[in-house]
Amino acid sequence: MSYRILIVDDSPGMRAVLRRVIDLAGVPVLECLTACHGLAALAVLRSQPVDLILTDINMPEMNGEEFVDELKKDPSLREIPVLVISTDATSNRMQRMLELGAAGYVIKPFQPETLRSEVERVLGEVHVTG
Amino acid sequence: MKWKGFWGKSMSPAEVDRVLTRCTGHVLETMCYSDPLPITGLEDGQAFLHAELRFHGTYSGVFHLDVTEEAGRSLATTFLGADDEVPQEQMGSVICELTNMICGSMLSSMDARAEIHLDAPQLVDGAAPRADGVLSRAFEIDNGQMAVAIQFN
Repeated sequence: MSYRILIVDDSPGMRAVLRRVIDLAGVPVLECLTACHGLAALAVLRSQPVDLILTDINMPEMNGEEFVDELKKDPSLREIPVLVISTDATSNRMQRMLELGAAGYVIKPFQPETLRSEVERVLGEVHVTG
Repeated sequence: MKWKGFWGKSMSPAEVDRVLTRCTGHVLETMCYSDPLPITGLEDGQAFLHAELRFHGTYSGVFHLDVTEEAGRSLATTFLGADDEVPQEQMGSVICELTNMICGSMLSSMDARAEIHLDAPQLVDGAAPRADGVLSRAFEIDNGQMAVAIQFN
């Protein structure tokens, strides 16, 4: 059982860290895809199946809030779980992202164990494409 | 002097300084296993990488991070879990991400109910301004020094 994971973040450094934490967590990854904003992520999602999305909020072109909103409007994509990874710990933002349909919210900076347990929790509930 | 809260309360510079120090320490300890030691100021005559981030919303302003190159490279290497020294471009990306994390952590700590948008941090020429209304804190870290500063509009 292995997973396709899409990391959406405009920071190359953060994309590398997320990839590394996933690897260290021992999550079986079939493929780890990346996108630097929401629009690019939607293009990736419309070209191949994905099991889990990790997304930042503050990004150019299309931010994380707009991205999740678009994703949940698309019947072919709406079931893919989304884990938000953000520095924004304000309650309004967190509540809004969860109301839009995010499966979880991890605040940066995070302990690797926190991210790992959230990834495992969400992946434990998904249909595997790989 | 009080920093008049846009959120209906005031914070003294000492309180803002405590939040700035705590959030910087939290981010560096969590992401880089670094334990920053507060110092009175940066030594003159050093070259610094300077990142800047503008924020808008319930309150707005600019957040600055200055770090000496060797210390920045050390932070980036640990942040990325790299075995080898990271290239300049990756180091810049990590410094920007740390700027984002410290600023976001600080603003959220000051007001958990605020509506804030953070622009993308950028490496720019120059250094954090030293002027009235700019609150800054310097640290000794592995292989050098760094400073963070926040300026509300």
